[in-house]
Amino acid sequence: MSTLQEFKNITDNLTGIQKLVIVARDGTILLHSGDQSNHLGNYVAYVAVTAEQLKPYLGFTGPYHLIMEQTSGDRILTLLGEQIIVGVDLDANVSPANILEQLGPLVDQITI
Amino acid sequence: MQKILDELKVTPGVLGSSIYTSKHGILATNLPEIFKAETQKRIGNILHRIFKLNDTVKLDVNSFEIQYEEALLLVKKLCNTSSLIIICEPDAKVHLINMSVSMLAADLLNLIDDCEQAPALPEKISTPQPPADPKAIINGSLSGEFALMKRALAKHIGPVAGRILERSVKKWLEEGKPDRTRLNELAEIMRLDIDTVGSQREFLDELKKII
Repeated sequence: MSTLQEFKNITDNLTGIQKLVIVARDGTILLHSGDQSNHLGNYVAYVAVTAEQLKPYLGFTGPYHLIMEQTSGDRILTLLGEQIIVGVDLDANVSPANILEQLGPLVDQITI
Repeated sequence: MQKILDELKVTPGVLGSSIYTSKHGILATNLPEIFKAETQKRIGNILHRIFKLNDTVKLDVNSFEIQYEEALLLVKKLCNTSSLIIICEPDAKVHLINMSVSMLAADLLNLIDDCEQAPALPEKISTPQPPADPKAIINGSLSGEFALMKRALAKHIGPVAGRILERSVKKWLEEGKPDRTRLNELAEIMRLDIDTVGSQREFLDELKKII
């Protein structure tokens, strides 16, 4: 099990992350770094809920993550854990797959 | 339109796709039959709502993907009122699919009547060419200055700063050469995208240290 702070420390060592936000399942922002993270927190909470809303229509299991791409090429990676939702704002030149590989396994281990 | 979707379906990893518009629902589809018409419309409505959120959160998201266990969902904004929804195999090569989409999207746009305003995708050939490619200029000899200017702007308007920089550079190039001595003119153009006068002043003050 990891704490939020331990998770943040890991992300601090990854390059290309502009902002990080961690949101509880009820929408409460638990931790953030960078400017305007409230916007980012609300946004990732919304898209995560939307992806889950689709499950009955699609009949799929999950969702596990979302990648939103902006016109500038910057991307927002949203990871869905059991208790939390993590939003990461990435530079255009950073591979979301690489960040996903490193953070994905940790998200379900975080307890709040 | 159906033909274009069928063409897209040939791309490895693509299981099917549909075109949703907020006015008319599903315009064309070749998604697996398990997804009934009403279900597809509901899915399209829910997914397209994410793009409508852009203004509220000051983002400029033009596509997104959702990873499920059984499939990967790719959604591309075609214009303010329509989206292309693609259901893929869970381990599909997204880059390959995106390449196919970018080749076909302009044709799709031409066929959608609802897409009259602000297309999210590159326009077709008929538009006049700008004096120089803004992206090439941004990555050129003044790239360091542009990066600092983008960062300064991002403090005030967030992650759309890159897009605004590109748009501003395009306008800047229409008025003259990409010269270091004209960076203050670029700053003036960029300033207009900041909401408050106070923030605009802070932005210009910060740029004085850079340019």
